Amino acid sequence: MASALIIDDSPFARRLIRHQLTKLGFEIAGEAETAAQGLRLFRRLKPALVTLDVLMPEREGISSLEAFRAMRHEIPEAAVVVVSAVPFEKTRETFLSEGALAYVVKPFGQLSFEQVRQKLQRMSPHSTA
Amino acid sequence: MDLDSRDQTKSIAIDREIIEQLREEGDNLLNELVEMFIGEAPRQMEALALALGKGDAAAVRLAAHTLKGTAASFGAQRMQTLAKAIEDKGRDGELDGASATLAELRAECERVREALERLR
Repeated sequence: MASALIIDDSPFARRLIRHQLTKLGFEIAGEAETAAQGLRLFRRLKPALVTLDVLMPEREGISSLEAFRAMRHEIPEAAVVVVSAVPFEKTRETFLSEGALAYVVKPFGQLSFEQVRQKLQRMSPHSTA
Repeated sequence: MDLDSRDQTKSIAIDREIIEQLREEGDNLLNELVEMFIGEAPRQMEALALALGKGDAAAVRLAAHTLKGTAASFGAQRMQTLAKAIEDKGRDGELDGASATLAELRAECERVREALERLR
């Protein structure tokens, strides 16, 4: 079973994402409340997939975008799903052009994660996760 | 902030469509989220009141941002709007009027809690 890391400051969002990723067949290896904490866990856990909230209060001087770029640089094969409460087109384009697997807008449900499932299947046709 | 309280408070506190989606997800997800709200929201509200009392704009921004995310999970639109208004004040370092908005937010949070309690 592939592992996943959830980075989101909202415990409610983390619970919802956990639910969706579990349905997709992922094992949740860790959860983080800040980009900095998430980056540390990413380096330690080396998950197959990460969900990263865009709008989190910046702590320890690391923004979500900086954490994203570090992840893409260090382990490019890890899939990063960006989640955001606001559908800013420019932000969406930035993350997708720099290699995010998908950009999911909150509030999300089964349909929001369907694009994630489809993209994962295209990457690895024989298994969902 | 002027959100025309008389009209707004007549609106539905939570988004029925989102609630139904959460219910359809099964796995006791909705109940779990409702329990989380009942436990977490008062703590988050107190953190915000404390930060405002200290005049700590960064802490106000953080606490209001957290409450905004909590509200968004249930499509609690007015609660979300009020929390965002305070978050913006925290970001701008301009806390004038935030206490009045906090009172509105507290009342709206209670309205959301009551609506969620009815789902149990």
